[in-house]
Parts: sequence; structure tokens; C-alpha cells
Amino acid sequence: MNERISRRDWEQLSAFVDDQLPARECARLEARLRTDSNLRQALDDLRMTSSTVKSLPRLHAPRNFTLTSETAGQRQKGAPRLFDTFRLASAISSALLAIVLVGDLLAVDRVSLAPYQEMVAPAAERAVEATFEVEAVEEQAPSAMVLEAAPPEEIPPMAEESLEKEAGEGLADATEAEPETPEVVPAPMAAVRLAEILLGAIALVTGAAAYYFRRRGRS
Amino acid sequence: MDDAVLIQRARQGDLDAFNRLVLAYQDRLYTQAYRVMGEQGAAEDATQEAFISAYRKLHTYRGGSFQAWLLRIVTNACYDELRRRKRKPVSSLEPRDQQGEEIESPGWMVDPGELPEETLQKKELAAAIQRCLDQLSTDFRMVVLLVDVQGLDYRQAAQVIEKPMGTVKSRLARARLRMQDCLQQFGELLPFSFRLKEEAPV
Repeated sequence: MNERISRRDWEQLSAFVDDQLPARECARLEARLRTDSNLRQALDDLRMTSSTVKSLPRLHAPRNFTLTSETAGQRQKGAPRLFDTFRLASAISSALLAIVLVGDLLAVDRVSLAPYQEMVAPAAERAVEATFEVEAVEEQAPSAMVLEAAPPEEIPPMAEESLEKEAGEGLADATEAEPETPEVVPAPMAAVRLAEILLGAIALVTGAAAYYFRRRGRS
Repeated sequence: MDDAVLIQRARQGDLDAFNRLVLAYQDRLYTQAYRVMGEQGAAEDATQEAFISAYRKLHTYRGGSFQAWLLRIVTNACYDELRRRKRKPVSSLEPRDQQGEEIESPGWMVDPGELPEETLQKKELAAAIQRCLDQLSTDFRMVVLLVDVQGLDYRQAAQVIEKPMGTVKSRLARARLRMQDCLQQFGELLPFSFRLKEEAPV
């Protein structure tokens, strides 16, 4: 551009070339063009540039871009709809899974340990009571021996045996209770675990399906 | 059958009617895409994407110039592709010289022996103009193409690029200035009057 042509003049000349200048501005510019040779030269340059670009031929499409019912239908209806459905299903199942997992974690102490405690507590109590009784008998026996010099056979062997047996049974109950618990407890826990597995599987499958339909929709 | 009837039918799901519109406008859309993208493959993709998108969005067409509406869609498709390329640049297929610079004219792909001289010159001139267009920023290139190649007026061009008319006017003037400077480099290919100006003493 000629350095004496301002940017505003250049814009006006460009619009003038395209007949896009308002009538009033057009008349003003024409008056200036009659007297300003630089402006006329710039106008000629612009016209030449514009006509050179306009000489670019319109290209012929190398192939037809017509749509088939499959192309239009798949993209318009099928794939996006299925994608949306599976995406929603995946989101919902993921959210439910998260809720169940959090609930499971928060309630694990109360829900899962309570039945164990119920099973173990009575046996343990019996064991403790039996132990105390044995200790009480043992404490009484030495003191009796010292004070009364009673022979050891005076302590009724049957009582000792029965006490030891009772204490032993109590302890045995307590220890035997452990392996039995898994068979008794799982009813509520198993349902939770099953729900977690199911929700996780649904989330995975629907997520994969949504991904597949999204890819198919793009291709 | 005029466009309005075909558009109405296409809106009701008549794909044949839409395809008649495709056939009527595909050269214009492909030209726009090719001039923006500068390569056939990308232009074909953008054109196809634009027609599919147009079919899907036909219910949003509110009258006015259907050509301008379609050009807006293909323009957006080109912008999307250019943005994608900016994020994931691909290596150029243009030949390079020993210094690693791109060889200027894509005419290397053509066998000049089979073409008459005049046809060859026209092709070279078109390649030179395309090269100058490629050097413009995308925004400037769009406006030049819409006005000088597609023949839209400023109001329609403003609708296509979704900017005020003043922006079209300003961008077009600046783009033409840059095109003028660039085209001076291809003096031999330019019209006689252009060469006279270049050779004239300053």
C-alpha cells in the first residue's frame, strides 16, 4: 500500500470496489478520487488484486457428497440415541455403585460384626465364668490344705473334673464358635456384595457399549 | 424445483430432496473448503461433514440465503479441523529442498508435458493465488474467499462468520493488502497490468 494512503482510506476503497460503501461516503470518496492521484493508484491496485483472486476457478467436487439413508440415519438417529442411552445407564449404575460402596464401608462395623459379636459373646462369657470357678476352687484347695492339713484326696475328684470339664467346654464353645460364623452371618452382606458386583458389571458393560456407539457414530 | 420447496421436503425427512440440494451446492462448498484447507482430502472431509451436519440441523435454518447458511457450516467444519490440526500437527506432504524448506509451487505434481501452455499458466496462477491465500490468517482468508470467490455481499459474509459488517469490511481490506504484497512475488504469472506496475520505477 502506498504509505500516504491511510488504513481508513484503504478500507473505504476496498468497500468501494465491492459497491458496499454507503451513498454519502461513496460520493465523498469519488470527489477525492478526482483530485488525488495516489488514491486513484491505490484503487487500481485494489481492483487488480480483487479481480486476480476472483479469477480463481470454482472447483468441481471430486465426488458426490449426497447422503445415503444409512449415513444420514445412523448419524442422525441410531448411534447418538444408543450412545446417549448407554451413557445414561452407565452413569446411573456407576452412581448407584458408589452409593452402595460408601454405605457398605460406613455400615461395615455395625452390619457385619454384630452377628459375630452375638455368636461369640455368650460362649466367651461362659468360658470366663468357668475359668473363674476353676480358679476359685484352686484357691480354696491350697488354703484348706494349709489350714486343715487335709489330704489332697479330700477334694472331690469328680467336682474338679466336672469343673475343669465345664471350663474346658466353655473355652471349647468359644473357640469352636469361630469357624461356624461364616455359615450363619452372610445373609445381608451377601446381598450387598451381589448388588456391588451387579452394579459394577452393568456400569462396565454399558460404558463399553456407549464407547462403541460413540466410535461408530463418528466413523 | 426451487430451494425453498426442497428444503421444506428435506425437513420432512425426504432425503432425495436434500440430496438435490447437495448436488446444487457441493461445488461451492467444496471450493470453499479446498481454498481454506489447501488440500483435497481435508476439503472432501470438511464438505461431507458439512452436508451431514446441515441435514441434522436443517430444522435450525430460519430462511435467508441457503448458500450463506451452508457456507457457515462448512466454514465451521474447516475451523474445527484447523483447530484439531493445531493441537495435533501433522507433517507436510509438500516436497522439501536440501535445506529442508518447502518447495514453493505444488506444480511438481503435474506433468507439464501433457498440458497446453495456457492451461499450465492458469494452473500456476491459481497455485500462486492459493499460496498467497494460505499465508493469510484463517480469519482473513475466510473473508476474502466469501466475498471474492463465493461472491457474497458484506451482510451475507457477516452472517457466515457471525461478526459485524464492520469486521468484514476491515478484514477484507487488510487481507487484500496482504494479498497484493504477496502476489507481487509471482510477477510472471500475473495479468499484464499487474506486471507493468511492478516494473514501473518508484
